Amino acid sequence: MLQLIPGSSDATATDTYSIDQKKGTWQPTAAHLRTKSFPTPFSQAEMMSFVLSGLSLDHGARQPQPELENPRLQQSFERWRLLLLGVALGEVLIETVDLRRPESDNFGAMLVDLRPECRFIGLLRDARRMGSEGRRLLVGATDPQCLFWCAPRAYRQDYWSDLKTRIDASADRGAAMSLLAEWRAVLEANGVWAPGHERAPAWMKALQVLLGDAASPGALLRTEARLVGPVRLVVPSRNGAEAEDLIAYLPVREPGWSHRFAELLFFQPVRREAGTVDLVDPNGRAVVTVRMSPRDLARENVAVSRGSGGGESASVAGFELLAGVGRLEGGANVARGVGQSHWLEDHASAQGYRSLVLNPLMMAAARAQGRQGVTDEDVLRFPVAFPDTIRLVVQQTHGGAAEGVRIHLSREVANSVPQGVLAPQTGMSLARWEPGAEPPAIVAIPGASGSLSLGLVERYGPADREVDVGELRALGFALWLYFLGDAELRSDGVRLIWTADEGKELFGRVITGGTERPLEVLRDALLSVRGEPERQRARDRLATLQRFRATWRALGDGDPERTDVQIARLGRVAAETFVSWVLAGSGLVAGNFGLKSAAPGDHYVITPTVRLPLYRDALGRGE
Amino acid sequence: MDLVIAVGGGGQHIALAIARLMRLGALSDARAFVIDADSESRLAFRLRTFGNTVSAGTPHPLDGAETVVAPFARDTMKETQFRKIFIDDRADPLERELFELFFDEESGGVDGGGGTNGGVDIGKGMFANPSVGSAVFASSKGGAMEPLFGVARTANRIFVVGSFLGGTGAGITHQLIKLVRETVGPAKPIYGVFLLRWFDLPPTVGQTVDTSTLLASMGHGLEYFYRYTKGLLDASMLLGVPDNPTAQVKAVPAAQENDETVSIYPLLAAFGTLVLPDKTDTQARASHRTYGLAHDEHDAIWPLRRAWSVPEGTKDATLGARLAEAVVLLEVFGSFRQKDSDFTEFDYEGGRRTWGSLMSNVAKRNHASPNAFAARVLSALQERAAQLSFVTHWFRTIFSDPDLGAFGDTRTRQLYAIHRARQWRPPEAFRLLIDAYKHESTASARRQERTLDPAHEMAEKIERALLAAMRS
Repeated sequence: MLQLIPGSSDATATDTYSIDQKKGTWQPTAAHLRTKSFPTPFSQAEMMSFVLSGLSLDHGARQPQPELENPRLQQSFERWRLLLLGVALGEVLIETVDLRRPESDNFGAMLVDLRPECRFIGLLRDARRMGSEGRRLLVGATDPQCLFWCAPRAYRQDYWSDLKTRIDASADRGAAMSLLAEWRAVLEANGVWAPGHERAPAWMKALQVLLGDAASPGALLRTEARLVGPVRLVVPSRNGAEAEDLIAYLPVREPGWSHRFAELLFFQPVRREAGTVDLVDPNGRAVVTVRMSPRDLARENVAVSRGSGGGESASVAGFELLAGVGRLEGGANVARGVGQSHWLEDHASAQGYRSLVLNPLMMAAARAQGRQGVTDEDVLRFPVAFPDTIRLVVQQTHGGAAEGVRIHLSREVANSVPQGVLAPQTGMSLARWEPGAEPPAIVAIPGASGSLSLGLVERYGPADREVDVGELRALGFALWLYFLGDAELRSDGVRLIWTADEGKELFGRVITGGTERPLEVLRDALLSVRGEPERQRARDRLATLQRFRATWRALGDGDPERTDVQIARLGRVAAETFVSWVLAGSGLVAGNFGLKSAAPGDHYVITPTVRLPLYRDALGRGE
Repeated sequence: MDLVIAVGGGGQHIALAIARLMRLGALSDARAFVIDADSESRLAFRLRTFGNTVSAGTPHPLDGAETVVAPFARDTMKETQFRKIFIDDRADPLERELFELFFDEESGGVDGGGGTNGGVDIGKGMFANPSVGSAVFASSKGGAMEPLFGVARTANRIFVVGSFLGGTGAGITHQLIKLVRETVGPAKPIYGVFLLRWFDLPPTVGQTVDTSTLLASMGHGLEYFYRYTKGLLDASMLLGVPDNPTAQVKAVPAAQENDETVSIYPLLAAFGTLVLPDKTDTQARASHRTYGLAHDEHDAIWPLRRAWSVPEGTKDATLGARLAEAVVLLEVFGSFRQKDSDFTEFDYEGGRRTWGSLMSNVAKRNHASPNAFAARVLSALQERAAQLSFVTHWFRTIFSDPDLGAFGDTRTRQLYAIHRARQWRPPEAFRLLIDAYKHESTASARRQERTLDPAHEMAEKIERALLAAMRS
């Protein structure tokens, strides 16, 4: 019995036989590949998937190049490579378009009806060349199976040779490859990278062929890359079942991007009615906008993307992120003025970035991923699944003191942040600091009434670019002056005054931008601990210094949850930091002895229940 | 009742085969819904009229096949140029960009383009461009296919038949299956039978469609089928010319001017509709298996030896038996025509007391003379003979006038042997007619839902009684 099937000359013993595997001989030869023969308007994407699927993962294998035999073929691995590297190098831009928007009209609607999961399609436009009607030249589009496919008319503009010249001559090409390798490593770490899987999508196979095993991930993704998109990608299922969708952002090499993004947190977020949050400068001018709801959502009938069977179709999952929620709109190269507050956390009178932007975006991301919620750990583990407006903030938050308490920064700290150094985000809770341990560099002042604490920063930043602020030792200096009897609380109790030096203010309550900060170390105190005179003067009073240290070292033990214990620890940390600074490099050693002061002479009231004790020297003139 | 959805040219070929088999009684009753862009082609005409044999009294064997529905609302389209269906002067630049992103110049044309720059003109066909066909279908599926969905909801089982060649069937079949599945839900069985390459186009110069084009459509269509469509079907069958075919299963040249191409493949596809449900494990429908058929190169008429649907009264379920019965019936009807006065005047042994009495009573109720009524019955029998001839001629072409002597019940074999020996004489026909009268009361008209005129009803009764006599 002869099998009646093309590509077969086999015999069989039965009338019927199963042919559940597609036969390789059913594929047209390279010369006969014909894009319009795919029974779908998405035929260009299908052809790209088909071409990429033919690539071999075998090391050193000669890859098929059907385009050489079939000049009419517009889809090829080479062009796919150019598009991907073009995106990674910023030569090709991704513009996400909602095919349900009125501008797409019945053609867009037809496409969505056929493939609801492709409702949000990424249009690839050349960053340099212009196309029709004042728009950038359209050179391709995104697809879940092949990632990118080529515009079939772009070749008429002699486009591909032009792009090849730009890509292959780019000095940053190696960095782009490294960046893509890092992106791949993120997928691998999250169990969705399996180019050899029988159900691996074409894009994954192609990326593996492009990068090979040699391209090693760099460390660019965190600081030197902007994420664009997102795009919907098919990935092999982690449980071995059907393939699943992944909403992922693609990396674009952009040196210093994370640092520039960090600058944006110095601009106040303001919610707008248009479903956006503007980050505004002190003059109320928006410097950049974060999209918080899909454009035209009110006009959208979300139900159109629901399957007729009643269940949610793929297009609903990830709807918000794909629709642009979390996208940064407008130029992000902004210059911060002196004195601008840091706006990650809420201020007393206004909500900060975390409340207005980060938390809502995290919820949107959770919905996109079909989860109850996402945590900072989720973002850190799978950063390319989140927009920069989430990713960079979370990464920066976790780049400083781990497990700290989120803090407000003082004006001094905010003004000290240089370009390229991340502002501190958290401080150590004094409930967690063990007396006797090394004093922390950043502390959260106990007694926060809102969602975050005031912070005092001694120093911050990476080792090679450490920024010395000195707020803790300056507070210690103020306590030292009070210990000596050279300072006293002002009569209203809101400032500690350096009575021995023209009544300079050392620390106290300040009002900034209509918001009161109950404890801020003031300028004169900070200047005093940045010069040598006061340090030398303290060294000259070593015995007193030992009593000062002994006094504070006697404090801070006890139940760490009690605020009086915590505030005593604040004074102790400040005092020890000051003493360490005084003695550093002098060869002097402070002994662990000396007469401790028995009781505070006064208290500085931070809140009615949190009061910083102030001690006089037991042998001093004030006692 | 089952529903056969025939898509494109391949689907019409299979529908014609199914209709022929239903006329023989080798397949059970089914209803058809035929979809093609060109409802006026010779092939479409042949299907719609069952070879120009359909009349009010002699209906189409395959109910619904009298109409070929366009896959898009062509009548209401202002433009038939593919580009202009989507892009007009007022189109937003974004929509224009999108259109030109998805379709190249050859398919989608250019603004203001005419001739080869205008893109595909769907009013003239899809030109083996499934991508265009699918887009056009997707843009207008709602209205044009609505009648189909109503029929599909009430069908017991649904068979989608077509091919992965060409532009219309290859372009819309996948979407159509998706829509039908969404309409009827997951529980209703849907089967697919699809022809792969089964004919060759003549090598003419300047033609936009050639065999390699068809092969590309087949290859890419299969790619798409395995990825997206197969899982929507309970089971499916693929059929096409193997690499080393014997003469009978070779690719035949396509008929000229889009007429019916006679080949064994549509018959085998029709056989697929019979065997697929039996192949489907109802406990494992999720496996969505795809099957192929095998050809016995040592037995050229093997499909005639297979059991098909079993009509009442016969002990032989083979297709050969049904075909032998048809051949005998044609001889019988030919004898009636040859001896028309004997038939109309009931001038044969026992004629007046049997069929003469019966027809006289019917004639009396209809205020007609018995002889005039019998003349109308004879005319109706000739119409039925024309249908049988349309069927048997097709089988003779496919199987090269096979000897059916081994098929059928005893009486059929005896009569077929006389036919085969070219010794048929009219008395054989009248003897059978008299014997058939014993079955008159049980041989009522098959299509109870149709109201036939008394003469055509009587003609059908006579045919059924004759068949009962041959099987008894």
